[in-house]
Amino acid sequence: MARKNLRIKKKKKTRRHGKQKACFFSKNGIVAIDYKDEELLRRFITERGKIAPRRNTGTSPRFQRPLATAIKRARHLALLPFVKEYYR
Amino acid sequence: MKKYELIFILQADQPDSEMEARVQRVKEILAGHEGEITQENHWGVRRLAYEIEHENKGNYMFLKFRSNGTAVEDLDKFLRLDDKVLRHLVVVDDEWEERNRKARAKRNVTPAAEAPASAE
Repeated sequence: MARKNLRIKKKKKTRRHGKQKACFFSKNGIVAIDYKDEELLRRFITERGKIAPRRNTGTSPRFQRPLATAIKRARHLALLPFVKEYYR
Repeated sequence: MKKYELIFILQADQPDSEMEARVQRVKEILAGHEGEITQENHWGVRRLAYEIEHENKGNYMFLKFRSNGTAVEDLDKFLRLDDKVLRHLVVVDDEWEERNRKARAKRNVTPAAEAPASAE
């Protein structure tokens, strides 16, 4: 009996796609991302201080790459955290 | 001649004279490479996002300069060897503001950017 149960196939996971968010940079006509603009960059990091994935922010690949660079530069200058204080 | 940006963070407890001395030294180095400072912007003492060398605050200095590429190496060396400088960064000036302004003018978008849904 038990053996039979092992054979039960897992249901195929269906991935749900949410509504595609518009890219913030394309929408607002920002061409270049400044690593000094702390306020702007803070919108694109998670609670823990990680760089937020595109699926959450809707940023287009064209801007996600320079955005990542900008965040890394800002981290080097201690404008942004690598890890949030209370998680350390 | 290229345009560059330079940021360095000095220990916050150092007097202003220390900051001036370093800016002066940067000027001297640049002079040796036909360069000059085009913009000087003292951000002042700010809280650091994380502790660096047991410091919680840092004195930020932001400079824009124009020079030959050879100056970067010297500046980098000078700032790296300085114990009182916590961090520094020299990057090519991308002229963010100018480019953004141009792009906006082209598209006729108002600069008041609405906030996106913050990342979770």
